[in-house]
Amino acid sequence: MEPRHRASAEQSEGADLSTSPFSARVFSLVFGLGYAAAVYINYPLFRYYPLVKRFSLHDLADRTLGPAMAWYGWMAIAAIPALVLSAVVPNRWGNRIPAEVFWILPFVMLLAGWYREQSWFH
Amino acid sequence: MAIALIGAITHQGLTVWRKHGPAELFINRFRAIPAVRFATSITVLYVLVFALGAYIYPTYVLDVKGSIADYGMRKTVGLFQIKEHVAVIGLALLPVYWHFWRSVLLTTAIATRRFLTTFLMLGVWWNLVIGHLLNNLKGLI
Repeated sequence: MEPRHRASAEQSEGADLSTSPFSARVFSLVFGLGYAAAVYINYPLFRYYPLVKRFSLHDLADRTLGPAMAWYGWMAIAAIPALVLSAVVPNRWGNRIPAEVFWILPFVMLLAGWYREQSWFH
Repeated sequence: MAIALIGAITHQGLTVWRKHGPAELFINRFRAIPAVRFATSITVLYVLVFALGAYIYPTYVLDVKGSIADYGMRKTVGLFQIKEHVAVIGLALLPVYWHFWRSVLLTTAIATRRFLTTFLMLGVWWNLVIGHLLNNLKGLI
């Protein structure tokens, strides 16, 4: 069997997302843009203080608590709308999102990350 | 798990750049295995490695980042911070990466599939190298 035919046969063995209620394109786009926005404006859903193992919805700004981690909170605030929309938006609509969008998305996220962290490099 | 992930994504990343033709050289035989086989394994491994990394991350922040920051190595801390964003970029791309490998015909969207796979491969390598360098640096200071 030719490799290309073999690969196509193997592809059809897997689950088909086009028939699943979950829209991968919607999830990736909303999660990626949500994370980029949350990082850019520094708006995590919560912060974690690993030294005292404590979560807080607000920035406690207390040095005795040790460093605050916003990373989990940025992901959480992006994941909520991504999960909801990827379940609600029909897959046939989600599949209309052009593939080229996913060429730009990682660079948008990277730029937001660079904006947040650039002070470390000055 | 991280080594399995880097092996699988490197294999697939090199395979998507292979030109069609007989695989005579070792590097071509290495890349001749159908790349679609790896998509599900890579997705599962990435999620597992990410979850494990997220679990141990607080310890890493306190021990490694704290030590490096105490020595005033700000650019090194910056690299550490970029690493966390690169990991999330990979996580964000993962559903659509899987979608383009398993739900979109392999004869279409070839460039997008190649881009997503290459980006994921470079991201995994970046995080592995930076993570190890920083961990080793912490051992030196």
